[in-house]
Formats: sequence, structure tokens, C-alpha cells
Amino acid sequence: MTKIMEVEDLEVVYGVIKALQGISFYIDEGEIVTIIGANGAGKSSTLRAISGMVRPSSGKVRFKNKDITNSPSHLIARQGLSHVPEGRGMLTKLTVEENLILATYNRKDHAKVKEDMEEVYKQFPRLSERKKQASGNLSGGEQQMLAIGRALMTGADTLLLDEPSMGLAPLIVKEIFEVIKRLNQAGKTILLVEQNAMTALNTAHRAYILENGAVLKSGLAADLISDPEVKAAYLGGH
Amino acid sequence: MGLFMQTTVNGILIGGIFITIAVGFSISYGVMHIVDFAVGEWIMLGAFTAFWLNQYTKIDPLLLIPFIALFFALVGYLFQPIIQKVVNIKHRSAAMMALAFTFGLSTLLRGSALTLWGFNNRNLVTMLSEMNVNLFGITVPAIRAAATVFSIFVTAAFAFFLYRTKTGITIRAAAEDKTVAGLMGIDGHRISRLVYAIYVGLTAMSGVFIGSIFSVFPDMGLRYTAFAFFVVVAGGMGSFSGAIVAGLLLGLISSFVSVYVGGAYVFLILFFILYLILVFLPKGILGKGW
Repeated sequence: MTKIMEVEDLEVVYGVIKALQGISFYIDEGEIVTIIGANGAGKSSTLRAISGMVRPSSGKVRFKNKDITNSPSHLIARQGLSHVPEGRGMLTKLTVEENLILATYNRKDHAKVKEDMEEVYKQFPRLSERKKQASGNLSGGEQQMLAIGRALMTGADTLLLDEPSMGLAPLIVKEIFEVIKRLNQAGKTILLVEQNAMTALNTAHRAYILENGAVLKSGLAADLISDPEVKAAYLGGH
Repeated sequence: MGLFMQTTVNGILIGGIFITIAVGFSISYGVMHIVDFAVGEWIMLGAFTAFWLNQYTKIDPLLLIPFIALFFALVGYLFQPIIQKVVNIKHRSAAMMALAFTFGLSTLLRGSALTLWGFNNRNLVTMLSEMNVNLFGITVPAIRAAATVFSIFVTAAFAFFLYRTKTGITIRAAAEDKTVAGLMGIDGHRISRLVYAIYVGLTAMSGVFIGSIFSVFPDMGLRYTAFAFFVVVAGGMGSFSGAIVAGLLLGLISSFVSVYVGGAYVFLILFFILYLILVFLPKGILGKGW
């Protein structure tokens, strides 16, 4: 398999706090890779540094064999890498439809855009019912669906999902993760950041466990689920 | 009753022009988060440009409007990166520095105009200057009616652009959250530049109307800078519909105060009303700002 993304010794510093102390990992094309870890382990910082929301203080990010370190986020987004930020990043005053249209701004493949739009509405029928509503009036689950739908509308083949389960009811979380699996089966590469370690490990192919801004462990998700140390620290310890 | 109606119509007519300035100023503030103290000077420069072009070419100032709007849009487009540079400086109070910068720009432009053209009031004579129209049984100068109709038309076109086009969506997205817009592949700097260009173009265009209704002089912009603040704060920061309502309100207030209290009290009363709005409706008249 080909590596679609390679992260090398990525370091992020906020003021005097080192959020990431040089982490390295890779994602193969078509994989779901998850990064799990406690609050403040550096999960979100990793995604932010990849998508250009923060500048890494050192390290490298390669995406599709191109160095994207230090590129501005709008140019990274145009490479086919879409980041669904923590808290869903809603543009609350825009309607559902406008949010989706916004994401297609740089696309020239108009026929495909139309197809993608239909596909998103098919995947998320509730968005279709609420097309004309301001996205600020949606429920948390609907907003998460819109955030993912919007990422798809950019035409991205690789999604960075930051805590898609945050603040959602278990039933909705289940639905969202089924969508994530479906998207992956349809060919999307996914980097998933989660605090909900069990659900994430059950969804992903491989996983990295982050602690204090460094990779503690990595491997196949199935192996990590049965790892006693991981079980004790992240899966409720049974 | 006749005077009351006359005052109301005058207020609405002048409010129509304020709306164009207010909407541009408000959207530009909403996207860039920079208060442009030079708003009045763009009005003044628009009026002077029309005046001098008219002197040399004898083309009616009203016919020069498309040219002036485009020319100043270009000026704004070329100038915006400089303001952006000031804001981007890694300094704790970069926003304050931007404020000081546009304040300085305003002073510089006004001072330069004064040096170049002196204190004299000049009249901008248009083909409508001598005409009157009958509006709801009230006689109004044709130039005022034309300015208002044109301003409302331009504002409506701008609203259509913002709410019905793809680029308009990107502007509203950037106004709400530039970081998220960036994740969608939208270049925030490009949008800021575009919006500033539109705002400067619209404002200079309004200057031609203001100059032909009143007169043209280097200090003419001052009161409009204060007006722009009133409209943005009263309408709610960055709110389009709020700016429209506040623009009309401003026209009515200034018209009524001028007639029934006296022109000297316009600002006093205006800012007292603004104070009340801030106390009781801190998010603006329509509650849509932030």
C-alpha cells in the first residue's frame, strides 16, 4: 500500500508549553487510523498542525508525496485533505445548503459536485430536510453530519476528524461511526482523533496512543484492544 | 403636518445614502475586524474626484459614478494589504495599531486635501441639481431622490451578491470564522481584500451624491465617520440588515433634530440615542450583531 501521509517528528509549541514533542506516524491510502489519548495528550494539536491551523515549530508533514508543512490551511484544503475541527466548526449564520456550497468554492468539476451533493444528502437525509435552516439551529448530531458532509464537498479524499463523538448521545455516536466506516469503504482515507477509545479502536485499522505529546504505543487496532496496558489506561480497565 | 411629512421624507432620503455607506462599512468591519477611521475621507475623495473630473472633462458627475466606484474599488484593493500587514504584526495590540493606522490615514488624507484644495466649499453641479420632484405631495430636490433610489438599488445588488452568490457565501463565512473558512479552502486574505475594495468603492460613490446634495470640502467626511460608527454600533457589528435599519434611523434622527431642535444638536442627540441603544440593546437594534 502507498503512504498517503507521513508525519515526521512533528513538534507544536504554544508559548512555553510543548503540546507535541516530536511525533511520527503514517497513514496508508484507504486506511482508518486513529489517534487516541487523554485530554491534553496532543491529539487536536496534531490535526491542527497537519491542516495548517497552527504552525509546527519543527517536523515535517508530507501528503501525497508533497511537503505541506507550513502551507496555509486554505492551500492544504485544496490538496484533498479536509479537517473537521473539534467542536464541528459550524458557520452558524449560513444555512445547511450554503455550508455545503461554500466547501465547493474551489472545485471546477461541476458535474461531480452535483453528484457529491446528492450523495451527501443521501448519506445524511436529515441535512436534506433542513437545507434552508441556519446551521446554528441544528442539533449537535446534525451539526456533526454537516461538518462531515462539508468536508466531503471539498472533494477531499482524506478526512481528519477531531472528536466526532464529542457531546453526542450514544445512539448518534453509533450512527456517526457507521458513516465513518461507510465513507472508508467508499475509498476515503481517515485520520480519527478520539477520546472515546473503545469506539475508535473498533472502527480503525491501526492506532497510535498519545501521551503527553508523544507516541506511547502504536499498532493494529485489534491488537491494541487486547493489550493489557491499553485496556487498563484507556478502555476502562477490565 | 406639511413640515413633519417633509422632514420624514428628507430623513428617509438621506437615510438611503447612509445605508450604502453603512452596509459597506459594516461588512468590511465584519470580515476584517478593523475599524476604518478613514471612511469619511473616502467620501471626501470620491466627491473631490468627481468635482475635478467634472471641471476638466465637463462630464456630468452622475455619469462619472461608475468610474469613481470602480477606481476607488481598485484603490481599496491595492491599499488593503498594507492595513493587513499592520494587523498581522506579531504584537499584543495589533488591532489597536490598525485603529491608530486608519486614524492616521484619515488625518493624512484630510490634511493633504486641505493643503491641496484649501478651505473653500465647492459645489458639485449635476444635471439634476436644479430640478425638483413631487414625492407623496412633497417637493424634494431631484438629486436627493435620485441618490436615494440609486443607493437603495446598489445596496440591494450588494445584498443579492452576499446572499445569492457563491462568492457572497465565502464573504459571510469569512466574516463569521476565517479559520473554518480556511479549512474549506477559502483564502481569508483574498476575501478581506475583495470586501475592502467593495467598501471603498461604495463609499466613494456615495461621496459623489453627498457632495452634490451638500457641498465639497476637505472636512466634509468627518461627520460621516461619526455616522458610520453610529450605524455599525446601533445596527449591530457586522450585521447587514441592522446596518440598513440603523442607516434609515440615522437619516430620520438627523433630519428631525435639524428641523425641530437645530443642526448643532444632531451629534449630541444622536450619540445619546446610541448610548441608550448600547445600554438596552447591546447587540444592536435587531439583536443580530455580536
